[in-house]
Amino acid sequence: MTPDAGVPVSSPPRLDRAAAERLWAGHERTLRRYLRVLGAAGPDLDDLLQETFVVLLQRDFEDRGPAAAATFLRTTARFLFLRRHRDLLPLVEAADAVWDRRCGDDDGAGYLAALRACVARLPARSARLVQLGYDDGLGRDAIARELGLKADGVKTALRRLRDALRQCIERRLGR
Amino acid sequence: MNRNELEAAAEERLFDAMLGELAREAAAPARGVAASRWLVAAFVVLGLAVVVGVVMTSRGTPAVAVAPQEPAPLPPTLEVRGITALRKADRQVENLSCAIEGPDFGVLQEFERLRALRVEQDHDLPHPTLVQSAWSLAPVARCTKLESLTVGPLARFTAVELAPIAALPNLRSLELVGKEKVLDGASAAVLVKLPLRSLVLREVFVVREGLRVLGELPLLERLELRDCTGLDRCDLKHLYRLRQLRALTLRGVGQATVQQFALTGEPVALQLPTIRDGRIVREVTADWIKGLAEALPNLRELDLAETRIDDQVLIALPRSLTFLGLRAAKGYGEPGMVAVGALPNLQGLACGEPPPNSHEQDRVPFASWWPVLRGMKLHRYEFAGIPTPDLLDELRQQTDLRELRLAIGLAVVTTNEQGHLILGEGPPLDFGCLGDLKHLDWVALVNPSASIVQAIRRAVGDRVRIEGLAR
Repeated sequence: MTPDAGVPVSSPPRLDRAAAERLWAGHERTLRRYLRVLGAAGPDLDDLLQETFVVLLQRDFEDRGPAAAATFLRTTARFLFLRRHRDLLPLVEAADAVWDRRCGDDDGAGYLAALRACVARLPARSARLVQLGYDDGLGRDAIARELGLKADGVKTALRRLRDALRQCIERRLGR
Repeated sequence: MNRNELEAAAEERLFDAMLGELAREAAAPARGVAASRWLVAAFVVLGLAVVVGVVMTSRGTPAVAVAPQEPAPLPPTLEVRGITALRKADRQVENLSCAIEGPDFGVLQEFERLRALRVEQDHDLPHPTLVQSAWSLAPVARCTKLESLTVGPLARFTAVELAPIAALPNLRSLELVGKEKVLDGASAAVLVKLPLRSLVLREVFVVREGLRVLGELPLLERLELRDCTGLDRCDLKHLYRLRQLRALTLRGVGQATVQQFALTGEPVALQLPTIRDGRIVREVTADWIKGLAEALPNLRELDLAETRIDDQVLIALPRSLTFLGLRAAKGYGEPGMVAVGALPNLQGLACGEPPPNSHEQDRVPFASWWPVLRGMKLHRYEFAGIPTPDLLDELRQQTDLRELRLAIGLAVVTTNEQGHLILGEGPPLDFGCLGDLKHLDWVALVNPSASIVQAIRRAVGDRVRIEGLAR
């Protein structure tokens, strides 16, 4: 009934709504990519991803720009991964070296652009193979049925495709 | 593997991750339709799995602990603050609540007659010890008469600290509170060794495996999962195995994670994706509710407070419910309310206005509750929001009402000198209608102002017990 029980609700801004949403939307993909390089997959990866954001939400976090936020999130994810897999420190160190080499400057945007350009030049049948194998996640038998190949043929085709794409990436990245 | 081989493997994983991203980019335009088809198929499969699960679980009764006898009523709680006061406390006490500087519970082993215990670290005491090193509830294991245990927020808590209580033969009620606690497979494995009837987890991080193991508590009658993180990644259908469950509280499931930033007061909603990598993120859905109704024949009370639901969820509610909690639930509308009004056994309802920070599409047309309530005969009603004359009109119609709980919301009423918005309770109301409710014997008010308490006291006289509760 009385306004005397009121509480102030406005104070100096720290992180506004748009910034928080950008933080979530802008870093999830890169973080997922980093966790994949560490070796996380499937439900384990989802758990780690969300645990990382839970840490972000529960801690005092000052947004000092995308680079700082990405570093914070990667460090947190790395810690959470190692907490689950204590014996994998050598693997994580190797993965970090690869990450620094390939994605250290731009979170992997250059690598992805190079790969995108390489995939764009693939013949339709090879592009379909990428689609079936990497997005739809079909097994070799199902891919073989889809493309009219034998299961062993799919294995060989995928290996050749990967080799070709990797060489293409190296050329584009100038390494 | 040597370092070169490890790096080569990491390169492969990076390549695979990037290729996967590209493939998903290419498929994105078509995914909407495909995913929704897959969703329908998944629900069908989920339904089948539920039926199979119910058959399987009902065929084999696990040979776990035998239910203890019903306990006698507890004496009043002895509240103790500080380790010095705890050391001086009567060793014959049966009901104890202690808040001490650090979780140094060694002295508790001397309280062998304890039947109910609440322990927590008291950060308000001077110079609290921030304990990061190992400790445990081992002293509590000596209190073999213990029936009820509440462990409040402490500095550190894992399955190791929890493990000693597995030896308590009579523990039937357990409450774990605090963000530092994680219900993982190991912690849940400790809990299933206990003859628990009631389990409350508040603000606990629930891991998928933890919820799965929790489904093995054969005697559980009441389960409260309040403000727990991680639930949206858990498979709720594991709860179907709790065949004795009578009351289930799922608070804050399947909704946006809302963070209230302290400095600005600006609520920020971070909407978690509902599908990840093509897999359903588990939440409260109509299919899940239908499965719940089939699997849990004893379920009578269901609390979905602060959870995002839709009309189909409410339409699928089991007809056996006697209490339904929808306080601050979001996303439903008039068809859902009508379905609630048609529940034949419903005697208790908690509802309220959705929080002001809700997304527009989640807003509940709250005024539509009034005609629905008019057709119901409630014994217990809980309202959270800003009371209006409409609310009081409806309360006047509830002639069977015995219990009323009002969580009075605050309305913006003025601006102070610094330009800050000041919240108050809104214009005064006449609560005289409550005096006409002949069966009313209990009114609970959450964080009431003195003026509201006085207004209600004037209306109901001395025959009604009025309690003020902390929010």
